Amino acid sequence: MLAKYRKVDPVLLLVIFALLLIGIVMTYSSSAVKGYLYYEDAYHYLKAELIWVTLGLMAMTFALMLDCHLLYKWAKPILYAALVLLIMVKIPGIGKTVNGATRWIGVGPLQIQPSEVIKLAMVLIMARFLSLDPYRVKSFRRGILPSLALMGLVCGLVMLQPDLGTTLVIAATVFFMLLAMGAKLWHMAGLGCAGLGLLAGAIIAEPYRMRRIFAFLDPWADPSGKGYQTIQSLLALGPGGLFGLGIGQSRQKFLYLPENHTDFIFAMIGEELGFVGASLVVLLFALFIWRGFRAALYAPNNYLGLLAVGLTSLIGIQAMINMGVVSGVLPVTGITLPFISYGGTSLLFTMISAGLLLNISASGNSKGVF
Amino acid sequence: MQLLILRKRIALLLVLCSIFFVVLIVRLGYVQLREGPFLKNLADEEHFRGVPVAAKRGNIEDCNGNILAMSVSAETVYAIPAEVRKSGRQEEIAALLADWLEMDKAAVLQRITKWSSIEYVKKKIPVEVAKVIKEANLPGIGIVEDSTRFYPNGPLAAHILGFTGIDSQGLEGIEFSRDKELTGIPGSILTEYGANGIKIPGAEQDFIPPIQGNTVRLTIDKNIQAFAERELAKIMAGQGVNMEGKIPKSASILAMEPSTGRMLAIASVPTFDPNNYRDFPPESRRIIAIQNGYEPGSTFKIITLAAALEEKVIKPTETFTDPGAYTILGKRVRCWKAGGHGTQTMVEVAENSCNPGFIEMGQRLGMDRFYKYLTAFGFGRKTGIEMSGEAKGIIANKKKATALDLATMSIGQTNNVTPIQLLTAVCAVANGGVLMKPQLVQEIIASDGRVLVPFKKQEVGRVISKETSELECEILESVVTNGTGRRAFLPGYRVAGKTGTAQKVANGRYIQGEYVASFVSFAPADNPRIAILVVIDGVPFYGGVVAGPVVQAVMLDSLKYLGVKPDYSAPLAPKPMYGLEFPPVKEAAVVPSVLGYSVGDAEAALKKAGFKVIVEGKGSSVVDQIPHGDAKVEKGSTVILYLGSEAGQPTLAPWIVENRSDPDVEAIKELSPRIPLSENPRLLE
Repeated sequence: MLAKYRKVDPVLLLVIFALLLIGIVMTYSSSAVKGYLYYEDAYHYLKAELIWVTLGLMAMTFALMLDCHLLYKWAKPILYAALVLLIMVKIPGIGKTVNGATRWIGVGPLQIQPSEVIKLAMVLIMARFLSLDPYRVKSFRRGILPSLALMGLVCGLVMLQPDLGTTLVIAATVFFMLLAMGAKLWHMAGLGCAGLGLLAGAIIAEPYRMRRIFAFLDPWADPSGKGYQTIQSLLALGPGGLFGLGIGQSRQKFLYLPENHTDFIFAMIGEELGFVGASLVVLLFALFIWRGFRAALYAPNNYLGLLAVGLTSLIGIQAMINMGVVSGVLPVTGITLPFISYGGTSLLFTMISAGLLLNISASGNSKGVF
Repeated sequence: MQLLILRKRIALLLVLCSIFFVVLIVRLGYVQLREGPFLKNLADEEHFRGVPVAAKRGNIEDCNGNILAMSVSAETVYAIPAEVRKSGRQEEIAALLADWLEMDKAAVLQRITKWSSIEYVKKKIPVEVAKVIKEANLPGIGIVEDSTRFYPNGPLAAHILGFTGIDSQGLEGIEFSRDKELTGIPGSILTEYGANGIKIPGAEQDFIPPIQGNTVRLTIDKNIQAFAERELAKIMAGQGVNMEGKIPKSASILAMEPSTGRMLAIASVPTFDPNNYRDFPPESRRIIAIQNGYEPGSTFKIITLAAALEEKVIKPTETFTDPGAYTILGKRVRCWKAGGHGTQTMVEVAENSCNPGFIEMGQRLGMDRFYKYLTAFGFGRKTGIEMSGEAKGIIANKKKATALDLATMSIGQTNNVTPIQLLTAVCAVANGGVLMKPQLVQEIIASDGRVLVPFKKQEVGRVISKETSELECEILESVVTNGTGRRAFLPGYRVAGKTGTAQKVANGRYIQGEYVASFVSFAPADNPRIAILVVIDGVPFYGGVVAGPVVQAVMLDSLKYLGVKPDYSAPLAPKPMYGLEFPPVKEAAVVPSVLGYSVGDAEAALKKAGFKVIVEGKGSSVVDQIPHGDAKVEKGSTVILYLGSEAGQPTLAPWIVENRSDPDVEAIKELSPRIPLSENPRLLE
């Protein structure tokens, strides 16, 4: 068992720890004011973060030690469980509504976000489905259509919350996995167009999304309303300049930028650590994606390879969307920055995914399957 | 085959991701590096909040740069309610502030916890209190420097200066009309605040200095203004010459430079102290010299004479016989002298202020020409002097006017004019025939000393020719030297002038035994430097008797102060008139200096030396006296004492120091035993 650790991709491990460390520091820096104001304890959020990180490390270690082929067997039960949880969100009394979206279930301090579970479940089931018959992905009827049907069901449920960000992450991850398995390019191109069409439809259907889209294109049209978050995010990034204001020197954390320790923590990084710090985080995620895909290339079989592609995409795409939102190239969607945003189910499941990815990187051989 | 595709596909995914990462880096570079400074400004705008720092209001100075109104530092207490609430000590803070500031605790509490980013608690608090508050270092409570208005000369020129309100905004007078120039632009102390209104720890501070207000330099001369106010003070203290202790309803003295229209003094009583204007009744703030009209009486004959001379309807040498009354439309308008003046030249008509003579001039001019001059000299419309509420005066409707109206108008009755209108018109006669716009502001000076707006005299238009002007100046000089104006005579100076006594109208009828006594005078007659009008309203005396000595006193002090050289060709005494006895020369006495004395001691000392006393201002010791110690004046005349506190309230002016060995006085001494020993010309009476 211990031998497995030695085979773990050290670069991937280092990237994960670097991102976690930046996350701890920045969570503290950006949450200190809020913690002091709301709980009279500047360390309030840091303490919780450290608990989540500890839990996350335990979960990551567990995922690392797990026999990945067990997941092959558990994929279906996990999916059913995740779907049940996802439906429970909509049951009044269990689901918890924050800012107009119902994303959490649970009682008291034990709260989980079913959309995080379904993301992982989706990757597991897709890897199993596509690797059972490596050639089914070439067929639209036998490969693509069932994948889309399942994705449609899951995304539909997620959109009920509503959670556009997670929907996008799931859809893009499935797209990446299909592409990686060798789906026909014209199938994929058609799928891409259909996906964009659906996205457009979803945006037009819900006026609040529509407004958000326009808000991101011209945030100054409504600076105190729809454009507020984007503007405050830019007002954090801009003053950061090349080297930033220095750790702890953020001005926007004084309640100007909402969600500054969760969804908009990347803006805090830009403000306190500057272009240099923000670029470093971007490069770390790029490195993560590269090492994740590399693990997929060297995986011993199709299942593990696809799993690696899926897990890497899950984290990588979420990071890209989050950073895109903060820097104002994507509309505000409300998803966290993996490893770095303050705690919660999101961090826990990111760590589980990372553990599985490390697990796969350790099981690879020098030849690789692909 | 399959493996190769998969390898390619992974590479494709990496490329897709790389493209996005490049876009992201470029976008970050654009936002943080290129747009950085712009966004930093926007962010600063959001984070910084300012505590305004009031600009220092500019001074108001007299024409020589003596300060008439200035701003002195005062402290203002402000609160940042968010910080006060956060400290949780609002009750305690409110109680402390209420105690120190002598305010109601509930009111203070309400202010310091109000939902606003900054709130003033109290403005203009004493320095000692500000120090206590500063040292207490209460959360959310701060002190900012403000300024308050101070008029170092107290009531001097109060009507012209006006005063300011609690926010240093001009409310009346020059403070009001030049508020924009005086105000300046406020600056601010900027500090970074959080979105909840709490100051950011270790926040940056920025100070934007205020731009100080400009100085407004008036045409008013502090000394001439003081001469005028001194005389008014005497009158209001019941010590007016020949006034038998009577106090008029109101009185004004105006002085103007005829050649430019610069107002050298405008004084009216009752008056007030702009430092605490609220303690005075509102009617004391009325500047009657500009806002009140009156029937000018004989002083107006100057205008009738000017018109008659200009239109050549009379010759100075032609004779006119006054039978004692002028019958017109069946009514007899009597001359002031019972029985009339008999046969006289037109110059003598002027000297005697003979009513039938002037009525004759009016009748010869006719309605059209008379009204032409009335309009040309500016009657019936505002002079445009920079004071709010100027009256237009009332001119009889020309269409309805009868020959009788023309007759009464010719001698200064019927029409209603303001003192400023009359003085402006007389100045046109004095200065060579050009009507000037009376002005109060000499120039506007920036805080760095640059002159922003220089003085420019404004001609309204020529009303009479230079020759007519010169001729009339001679006639008016003769009025003072040989005629009814002799009480304004000054030995050694060529003084021109005209008395005036107008009846007062109430309910459409003239009031018996109550007059507006006035005297207008200018000197030197051949090149007038100053024209003075004295109007005393509501006294049972004639103009020459009570207003003459006042105009004489102000004129003498002003001419000496202005450095006008005595003219040795001028007569040294007025022509004695039949029936007019010179009073015996009284004893001259030396005024003792009582500077620094207590009020009681000073009064005792002066009374012992044989003087009457007027006390001005509040305080325990004498900071100034008029006349100064060692001056030789008539025994039994008045000395005005100016009081101040021991703390050293700034005194009035450097009063002009009169030259004790005045050559003309010495010369006069040589000439005749009738000439008094003192330079006080009142002894001539």
